[in-house]
Amino acid sequence: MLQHEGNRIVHHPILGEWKPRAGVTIFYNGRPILAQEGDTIAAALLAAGISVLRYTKKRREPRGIFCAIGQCSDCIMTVNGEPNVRTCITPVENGMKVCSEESQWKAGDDQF
Amino acid sequence: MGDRTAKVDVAIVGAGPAGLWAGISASGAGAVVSVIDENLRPGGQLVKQIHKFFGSAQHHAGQRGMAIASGLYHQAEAAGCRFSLNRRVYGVYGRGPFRLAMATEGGTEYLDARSLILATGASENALAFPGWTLPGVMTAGAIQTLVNLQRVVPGHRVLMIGAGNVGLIVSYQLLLAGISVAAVVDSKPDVGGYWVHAAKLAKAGVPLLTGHTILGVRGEERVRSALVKDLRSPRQPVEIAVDTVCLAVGMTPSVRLVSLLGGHLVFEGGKGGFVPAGGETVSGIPGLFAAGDASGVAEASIAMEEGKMAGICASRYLGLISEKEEQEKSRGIRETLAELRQPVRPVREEFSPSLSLFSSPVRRVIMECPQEIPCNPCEKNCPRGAIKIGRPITNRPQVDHALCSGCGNCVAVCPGMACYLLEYDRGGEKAKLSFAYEGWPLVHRGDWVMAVAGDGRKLGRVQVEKVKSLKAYSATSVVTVAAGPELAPYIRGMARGENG
Repeated sequence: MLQHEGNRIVHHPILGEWKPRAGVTIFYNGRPILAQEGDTIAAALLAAGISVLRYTKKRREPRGIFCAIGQCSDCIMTVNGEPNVRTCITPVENGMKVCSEESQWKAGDDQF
Repeated sequence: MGDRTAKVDVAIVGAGPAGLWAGISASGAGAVVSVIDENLRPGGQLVKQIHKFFGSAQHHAGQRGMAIASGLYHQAEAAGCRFSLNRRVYGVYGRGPFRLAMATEGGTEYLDARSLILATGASENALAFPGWTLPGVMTAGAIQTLVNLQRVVPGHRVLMIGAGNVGLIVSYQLLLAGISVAAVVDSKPDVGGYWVHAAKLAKAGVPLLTGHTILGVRGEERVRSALVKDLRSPRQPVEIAVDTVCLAVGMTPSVRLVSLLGGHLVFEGGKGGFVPAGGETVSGIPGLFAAGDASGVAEASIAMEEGKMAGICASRYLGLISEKEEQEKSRGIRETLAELRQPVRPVREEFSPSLSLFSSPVRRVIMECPQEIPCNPCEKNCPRGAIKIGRPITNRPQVDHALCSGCGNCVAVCPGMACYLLEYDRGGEKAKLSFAYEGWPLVHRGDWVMAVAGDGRKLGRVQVEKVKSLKAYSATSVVTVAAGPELAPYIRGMARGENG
């Protein structure tokens, strides 16, 4: 018997059974992702198997969740057009458009 | 701006255990108190702590952190504290009063406070090694947030860096969530955290690699493996296949607001870095106080006492209590703090209870509690007074076996899961051993399970005779298994997920 369904911890000896919350759909680089109310964006993406949240501008290195409490800025993405949103502390909303920062780059952005 | 600026007697920044207790304490003295926190819910890091806490009843020992958080919040609310959540204090202007600027979703809000208590906690340290920026490397706090609050799997196999209490506790929390821990690595020669926390992992067969260090991780888009080196051996590092590396390498007090106010900081390595000079009364700035991890990284029980103390100091500063009252109230706190701050020495020698104790017919409580740590729920919850700790609270428990009724309360409430009950029948031919179990799935009477020793060694299949799960045990069960009289004294638990 598995404690997990996908990447969601559904059975837990201390916290009890996971009670699924209302489903919301967010769009990750245009792709629909099913999330649950109360998820942070980063957690919803991780639950969907996405652990690379962005690439650094200059060296194109992948970055993911590091601190998960809004301190380190590794998880920043463009949310509904607003850049540099800390996705680890921002709750999902239905219809939210979440883009990795590199998808917003213009040519020459890494030349600095 | 002037009209919209709220005014209070005491502003407390941070709603963790220190801030909440500071609020309870200052409100109790009659102060108008506002508690501010950048998070949506109060409780600080307690909200993601799902293990049972150590300490004494006054520090909620035996309760899980998340329950302590809601309890303290309700206590603070009942005492009259106002809460300003989802607000980040980014500036403090002036000292009399302190004018706090708070970032909110709707813009800046201001608050004037005659006295200011900083209970801002600490931030986690990072550790740089080749590949440390790869997705899959994250802090222990991040793991707790994802696993215990968001209920999302951060990875399927984790390497823990750091064998202090945080590293040990978070490793155990990962096991509870059904995630495997490949090993716990620490460069120091000894486990830094409590022996009993390490023992929980040893029982689960998790290797504790002290004297080892991480050299780096490999992977393209995510961690695929970690290189671990034995520091005492000339041998090449070993490559361990993991998808996640968790950093539990200490914390640094968050003192930026002290700096902003021009407060004097001193470096104290044992407290995690720079801390305000003067302890709870930040020297040189009247009306400014610090408590909890912000004044030196320590356990939550210490943060609670420091919070109480800061609340008393602020009340005295405001003239709400007399000097005599201040002295009376703070005396007990100082004594408790002195007890709690006793350094905990590592357990070096291999610990095993003397088995010559166990002759039939007999009932014995086995207490694998070899370290002087501040903890006494076993004593407090024994209905027969068979367990003695007394003061200081760091004393090791002494058991009067003749008084033991075999109720199993100590087995269930011990936060270290280090109490066991061994019983022989009259002829000495049959024996049973009871241990604390927190796992999924639950076990039932009649199930056959794989018994394990303290070092995780599989001892053989045994049958479950009884499962006691009381509400007061808070999700811990006391599992009694029947075994031969030679085997029973060595059983310390059961392998996870191997019952049925």
